[in-house]
Amino acid sequence: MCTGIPTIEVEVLGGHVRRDGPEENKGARPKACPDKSPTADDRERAIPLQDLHRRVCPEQSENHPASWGVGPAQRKHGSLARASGASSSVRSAWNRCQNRAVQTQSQRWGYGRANRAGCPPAAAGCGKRGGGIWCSESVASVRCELKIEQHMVGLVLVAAATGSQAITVLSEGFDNVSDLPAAGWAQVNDSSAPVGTSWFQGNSGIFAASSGASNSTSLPTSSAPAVLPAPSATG
Amino acid sequence: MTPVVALDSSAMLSFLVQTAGNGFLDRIEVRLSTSGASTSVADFSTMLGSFQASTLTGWVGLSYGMGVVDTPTSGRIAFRYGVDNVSTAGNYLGLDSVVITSAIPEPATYLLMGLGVAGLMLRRRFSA
Repeated sequence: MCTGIPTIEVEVLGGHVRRDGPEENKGARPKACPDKSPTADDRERAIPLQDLHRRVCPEQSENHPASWGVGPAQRKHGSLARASGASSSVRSAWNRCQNRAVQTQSQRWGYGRANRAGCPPAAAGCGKRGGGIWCSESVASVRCELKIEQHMVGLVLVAAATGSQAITVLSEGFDNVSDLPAAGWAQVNDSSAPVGTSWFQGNSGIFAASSGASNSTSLPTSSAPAVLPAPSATG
Repeated sequence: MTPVVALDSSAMLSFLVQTAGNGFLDRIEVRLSTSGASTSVADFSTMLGSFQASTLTGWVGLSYGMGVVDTPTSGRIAFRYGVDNVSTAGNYLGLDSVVITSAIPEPATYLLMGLGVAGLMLRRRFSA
């Protein structure tokens, strides 16, 4: 029987028990567990016991400790660390729940996939038993899942942030009016006699451009301006 | 007329305009066509705004939204210079820094969002 299941083992398991787990694995446990005490980092990721119950052993689930005789008062403790101080039968129930959760994780991700995804190496204490992979320590795989989940959230956030920004569809500074037709600009001189001039490069002698070359201003066509200056040289 | 651009209700046109004046009125209209690449003057029936002055104005920044575009489409924006009486109006008008922006995500952004949402849904499904 596993006697050294660390607190973190359950605290980071949240939400991985399947109701339809392999029948032959129910109740199985690893023979030995590695000596792993919770680190400060592990404690920071501790999940409140209420939440842990809801996620790891949902109500009405066959995996819920209530099915094994754990009362509500026990489940209201602040963390599994406190729960681990319960009687041996309670611990056994919890361990069973934990182990099935770990197995579910291992089956889902597999060590190879986890490693290729940049996750930490598979946790120690895992091996085949009863037709499935069993782990007495699941920190690595849990971290992997958290990492992947964070990446997914990141994708959504990045996309949302990108989508909320204004996209420049067109930007034209008229540095060279002669390039406009090739860029897709079109001109129509619809003026009646006397016919006006078309748009032309700006004349810096009248006023300078706002930005770019001093004459990078486009000037009008249409209704025959009476004193429209002659087109200036481009520059 | 600008090149054909994708237009939607979030699109925004901004540009700078300046008139030389000298007592002659210069007037410019900004018109919208949602008829794709058409350059037919008749298609530019929607006037977004106008500006006119008969003095040296300095550069004036103007912006117009495209709230009239109900559904995303493509079209052009035209800058129409015109005066009614050339004996009393029409001198010199400059245009600069024309920019059109849109807040609608591009297809690549939709794809990115879809991947993230799908991943989250799969993650949630397998965790149940």
